[in-house]
Amino acid sequence: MKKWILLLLTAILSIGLVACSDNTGSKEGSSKDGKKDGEKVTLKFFTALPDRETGLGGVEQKIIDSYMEKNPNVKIEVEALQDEPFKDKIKIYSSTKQLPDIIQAWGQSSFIAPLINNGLLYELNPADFEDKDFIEGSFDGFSKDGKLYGVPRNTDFLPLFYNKRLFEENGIEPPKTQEDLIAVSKKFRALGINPVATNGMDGWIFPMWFDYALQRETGSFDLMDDALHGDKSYTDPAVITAAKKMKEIVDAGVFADGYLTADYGTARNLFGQEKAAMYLMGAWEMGLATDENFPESFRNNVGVIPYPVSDKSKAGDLVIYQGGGYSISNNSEHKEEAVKFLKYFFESENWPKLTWQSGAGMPAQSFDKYLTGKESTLQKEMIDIFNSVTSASGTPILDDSTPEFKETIMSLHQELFTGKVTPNQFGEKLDAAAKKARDASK
Amino acid sequence: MNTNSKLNISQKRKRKPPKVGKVILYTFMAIVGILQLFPLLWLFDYSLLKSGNFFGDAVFQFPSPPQWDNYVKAFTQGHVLPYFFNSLLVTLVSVAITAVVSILLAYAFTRMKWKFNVLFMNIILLGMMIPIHATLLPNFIIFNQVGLLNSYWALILPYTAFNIPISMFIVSGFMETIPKTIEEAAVIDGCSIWGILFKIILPITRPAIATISVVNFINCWNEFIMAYTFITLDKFKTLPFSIIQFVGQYSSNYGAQFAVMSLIAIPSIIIYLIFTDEINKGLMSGSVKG
Amino acid sequence: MNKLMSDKKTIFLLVAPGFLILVSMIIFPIGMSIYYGFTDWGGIGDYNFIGFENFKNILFSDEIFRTSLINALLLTVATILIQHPIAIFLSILITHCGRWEKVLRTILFIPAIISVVVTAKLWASIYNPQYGLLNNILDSIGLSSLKQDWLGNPDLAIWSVIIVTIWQGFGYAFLLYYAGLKGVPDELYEAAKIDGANPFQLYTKVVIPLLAPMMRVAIIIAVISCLKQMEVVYLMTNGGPGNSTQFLGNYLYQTAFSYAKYGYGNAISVLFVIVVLIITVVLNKVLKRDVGEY
Repeated sequence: MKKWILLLLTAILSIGLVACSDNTGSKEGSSKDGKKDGEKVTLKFFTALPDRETGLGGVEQKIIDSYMEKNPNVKIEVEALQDEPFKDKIKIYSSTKQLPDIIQAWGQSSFIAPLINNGLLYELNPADFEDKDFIEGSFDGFSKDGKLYGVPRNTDFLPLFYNKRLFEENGIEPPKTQEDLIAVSKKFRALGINPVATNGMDGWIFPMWFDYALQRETGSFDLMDDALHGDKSYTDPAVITAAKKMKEIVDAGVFADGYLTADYGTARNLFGQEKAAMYLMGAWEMGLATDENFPESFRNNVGVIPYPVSDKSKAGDLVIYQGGGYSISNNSEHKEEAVKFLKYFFESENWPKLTWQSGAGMPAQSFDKYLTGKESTLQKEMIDIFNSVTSASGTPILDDSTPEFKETIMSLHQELFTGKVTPNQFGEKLDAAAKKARDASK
Repeated sequence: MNTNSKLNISQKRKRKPPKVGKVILYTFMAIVGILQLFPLLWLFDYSLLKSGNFFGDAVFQFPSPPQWDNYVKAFTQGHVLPYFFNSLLVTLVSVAITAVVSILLAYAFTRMKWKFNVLFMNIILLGMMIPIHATLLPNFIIFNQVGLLNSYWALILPYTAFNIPISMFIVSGFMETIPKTIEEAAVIDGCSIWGILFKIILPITRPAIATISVVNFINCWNEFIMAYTFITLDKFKTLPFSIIQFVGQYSSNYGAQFAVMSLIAIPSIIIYLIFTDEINKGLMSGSVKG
Repeated sequence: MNKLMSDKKTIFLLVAPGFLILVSMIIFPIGMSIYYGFTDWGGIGDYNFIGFENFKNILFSDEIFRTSLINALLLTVATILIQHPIAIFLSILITHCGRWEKVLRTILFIPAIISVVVTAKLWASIYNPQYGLLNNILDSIGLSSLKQDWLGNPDLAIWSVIIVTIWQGFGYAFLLYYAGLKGVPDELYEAAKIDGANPFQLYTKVVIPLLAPMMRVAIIIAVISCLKQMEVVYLMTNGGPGNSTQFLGNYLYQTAFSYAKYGYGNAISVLFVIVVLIITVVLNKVLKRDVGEY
């Protein structure tokens, strides 16, 4: 009996398969016909915001839906993956020059330079976006030789989130200096609470943190970039000292247990479920205060402070940069439609307003006029930090070179923290990687 | 026929260890069995918890009340149902094609007389040693050229290809044990090769076919790296996607994540339980030849 | 008979479908891989032929390649020395379990049939230092001092990964040996009993040597699958922390896709295939000699 059922099932399914593939065939045919009539257009939209319900992804999806409602002839197919898988997939797509019509892009050379250099991105007309109140200089990362290849979406910076309740109940003051950070962490450790949650498995957070460590050591963000370009060296004593200090911070138990294997979700949960007192993460996590998955006592008490300083630096010295944005593929058959959509997307009623008012993040367009006065404390604290900026890092070092350099610097940090390399070796290897990257781009 | 009688003998009770030994044996095996299943029980247990309760100290936590809502979320937000049917379709078709093709190949290698017999067999066995990952990008490029990306075939063809070598290996091992005299008699009766293959060989080889089919089913059902590379449209995604997607999209909802994992695991377990006898029969009769 | 069995048309029809699928899905792509292995292609745009440059770099100056290879060998050895003896032992025990035999056999095989995606995520949670099962158990039996960051500590991580792969693959090894045992003719047991062999002798002297051909198959399958290991690592640690759990499959995926060094990644995969080939051929030769008499 069983076998007959199985056989029958297989037969039905294979017929179904043939039928299905026929279907797709005919559908493609009809959409091609449609194009001739100027009616149906399908835009493929590839984004790195996989959460389509809340946060930035929720806002993005809302705008897409409303656009499709207003333009019934346009269908937008969304594909969404997390950052790292997204970037891998982009490489797969670009090897066949088949990028989706609209892709999320980062105005950082490790991501966008290979795409621009190989003519995969469509040149945009800055005039299309002139009236959208973009923050000054925010197009820089997306431009090359005076041509624009993408539109920025967010302003990102790296603060330190903290749980006010845990601090107040235990009579602990938020850390102001790096020494404070270690002292505070020891107190939390003694209470059995994880000090700082972070997503060490993903790898990118540490090099960004290193930007801070080195800035706190030298008082400026310049050494980082100079060494990358070969004007200075990563074997500079300041780099070694910064590496040593990072290692000290790690060894003092500042990071939560298992920080090296915590992925994004794990770290976020640890903080959101009040198992960690602090959270080293980008400003885009403003949505923490409204995430229903977390207890109310957390949502009401989440706050944010600048990364702790040293005597050489100020709290306003921020790792701040233009984050994600969008580009249009050069091989797209619907470039006009794609541009039309982006223009709609960035209209003041849409992205900047919705993003800010939903508390999902900081748009790259000025949002002063959308301040409602009803912002959460988290949002207010975030603006205060944003307005206090005294110096800016620009693109984080890991994204400022080749993809290989990025991978190397990410795993070098892990190796430093697990003791596989010494601070001196760390400097040497980093320098070698930078040199290799410079040679490769020659 | 020979094989069957041997099988019966070997399945008879062998020896009776003394009573005390039996108690120790059963206790020990029970512990092993529980250890083996424990992680899965833990998975089901935690899939009914609220995300906030994950951080408790107890090993097992009684879900009070059970969060069936996690499963509802898993079903709706994890697209479990449509992905399930895609998985089923892709898997069954791959398994069917693999079975047919492997039988043909095995027959050609064990029975037919031709010059390049060994060479071809070795080329196919070589396939066993090729890591899937080495073919990901070339295949992406090829599929893109011929327009197969985002279709069921983009999964069925490579799944079949990677299952052929081992299936062919098992089936031909089994065929070698079938005495040639039967076929010789059939040939004298005027039977063609195809007649022999379908009327005589096929029924005898059934246990081996069952084995490879179940093993291939499990392989295809669980495969994700190719699916992840070749499929982008929701319409064609298979089950392992739910979890990858779920981990990304709802990373803060642990309970629902565990629920998705349970939902993916359950069909494999059920299929296995239904066909467990087949697998064993196939493996055992295949091993009689030693 | 002979004429029928060497009919070219029939042979072609028998071989063509399978061979065609295999060639187009595996052999041809590998050919492309070899081609790209000699280039400096980054995945996009133009590329140059650089001869054996990639291969030289991998063999002589790529530490991560070496780590991956060593890890793969470590996993192989651990599998053979840990998983297989346990599998043989349990398969012997299970034949004495009477009516529970079937149930136990089923239970032991279950981990093998569950999606790697699930088991990897599951074990990552078990090892999780915050809410993981393992540390919780250590706590509850008063061994809190043994608590570890199982995947975060580079010295332990590789072993944590090895345990997962052994657990996952256990069912197949077990079933193979179990099938082998069932294939041992009953007369042998009887004969040994008559000769006065105790159960221990019965197994060490008579039964286990008979399992040798099964062992050969099981070991070769284990070696190949250990060398090809990628999924568990990809999902659990992605090779980290600091490449300490890197495996060849994962490494080549990373170089090709994350590092955007497609040519280099393909060179790795070519070497990878060669390594697997050499090991299997050698193994086949060595093991065949060992058990050739049966």
